[in-house]
Amino acid sequence: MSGALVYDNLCAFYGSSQILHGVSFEVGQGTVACLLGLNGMGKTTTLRATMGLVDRLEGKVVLNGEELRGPTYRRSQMGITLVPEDRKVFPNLTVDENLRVAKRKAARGQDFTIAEALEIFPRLGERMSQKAGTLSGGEQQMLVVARAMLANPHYMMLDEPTEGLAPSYVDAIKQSIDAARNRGIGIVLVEQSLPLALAVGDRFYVMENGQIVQSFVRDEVLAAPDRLANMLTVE
Amino acid sequence: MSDSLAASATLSRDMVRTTTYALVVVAALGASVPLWTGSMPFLLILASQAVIAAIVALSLDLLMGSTGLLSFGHAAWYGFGAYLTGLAAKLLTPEMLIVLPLTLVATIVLATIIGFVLVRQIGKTFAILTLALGQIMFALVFVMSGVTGGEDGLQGIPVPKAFGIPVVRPDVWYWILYGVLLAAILASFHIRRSPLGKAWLAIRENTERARFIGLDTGSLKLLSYVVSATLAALAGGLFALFNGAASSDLLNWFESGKVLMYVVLGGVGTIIGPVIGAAVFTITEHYVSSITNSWLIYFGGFFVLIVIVAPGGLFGALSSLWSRFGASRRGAAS
Repeated sequence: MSGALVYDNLCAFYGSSQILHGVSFEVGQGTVACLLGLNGMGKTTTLRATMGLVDRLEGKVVLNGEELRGPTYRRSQMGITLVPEDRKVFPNLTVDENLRVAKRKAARGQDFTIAEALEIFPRLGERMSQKAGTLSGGEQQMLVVARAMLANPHYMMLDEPTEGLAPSYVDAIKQSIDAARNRGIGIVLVEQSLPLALAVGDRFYVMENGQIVQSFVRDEVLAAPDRLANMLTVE
Repeated sequence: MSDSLAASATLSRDMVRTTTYALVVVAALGASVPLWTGSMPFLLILASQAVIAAIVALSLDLLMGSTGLLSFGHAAWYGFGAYLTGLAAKLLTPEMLIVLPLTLVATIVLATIIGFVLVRQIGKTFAILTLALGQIMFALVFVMSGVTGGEDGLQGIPVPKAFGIPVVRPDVWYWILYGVLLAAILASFHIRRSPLGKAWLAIRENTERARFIGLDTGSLKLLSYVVSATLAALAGGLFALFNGAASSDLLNWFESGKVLMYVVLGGVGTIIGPVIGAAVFTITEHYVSSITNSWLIYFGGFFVLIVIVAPGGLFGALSSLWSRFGASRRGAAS
């Protein structure tokens, strides 16, 4: 697929422990792929491996026809960015500085601007001169998502972006995913909240023991949502 | 906006304006030192030493306060600049507009090579390696005693010239040093506000997250190390030309410790704080050490007190008092 993010038989290791066992899937531009599964199945490791943050890798991840290689910052410059689940902002920089430091020119298409980020997250607009470390958890999550979008990536990986957030913040995150998708940004979403995944996802991949064991397209899931829900329930 | 908010915003703008005026007045007062120390030339020399200390403190703050790299061996660059400038003045030309740029270029080259290895280390490892670098430079003074003068130090540095005119008068010297300090302060503020400065701060706050947004943290840290080393070498070069000599003490770990104390005492990352810390330290050191040989004990106690009572340093404490003053004005206005 041209311009796609392609995972080709990816294996990842921490020390001598193998965490991923041949993960393969594709994400297209402007689509949302949801990685689902119980805790400890390798979802977060898949994202970290994409950024080169595991001890050893086999297989490959290809972005726009080019294999992702090298240190994390270079992978980010190639057009992929990760929003980790611990939502760490730069606490002693203001909200404005957090956004400006992430701003990068788009390699193609129109730049995503700070003004547009503030349209999606108006709450941040009211806090621009405030130190980011003093924001609430939900506001910090908005800030890290906005920061990732301002890097103008081709693909964005979101790890549990709504974990522990109030419903109003979850709506804002959903809105940001829609906005990114409308701009042609592809998204890999790791999410425990099935309602959000169902609301935004185009393809759904269920992981077990470091492998993808099932995949569904949106229509399949909407036709029988219980089937997916059952796979994500501990018996 | 409600009336009270509007009034508060106006007062905030007033505070910013007042702070700016206050800084301009302080800068002008600093520039006027030679005008009122005419009958006490020693005071002018002491003030000049404080200005050199302030430049080297500012150089360390550029490293610690921006990318968060803690150096225990910053005097290595201070001493390197002093010896290289002194040697160039002795062997090549006393023209400071030639020898100082030579020193800066040599420092940039050497700091880039050494920094390339150092900045790849993190935390304590980086700090310990900088300490080791300082001690290696210190030892080299004795190993190369034929060139450096060894224990006697580098003596006989000629009177420097600027545009061919000998710089002898203490007041002219002071204004040169003070001009360099002001330029370094303004450059530091400019860098801090620039995208480069923000990227450095992002690295200090969270290096991994900085990489996630595409910042080449290794190169950016190296740049901050080189800029910091170069400014320290400039301070060292000015010291050697001003004093007409350079000694191995400039490279010793004790000197590095003093520079670190200037920064912590004044307030890490505040730019103005380390300048205040260096000035307070240098002037107080002179007077207290002339009263008692145990001055280090008193200094140690004062340092501990500042770290505990005012973790933001003297600048942090002054800023806090200034903010309270502003808040009380707002309270009175409403």
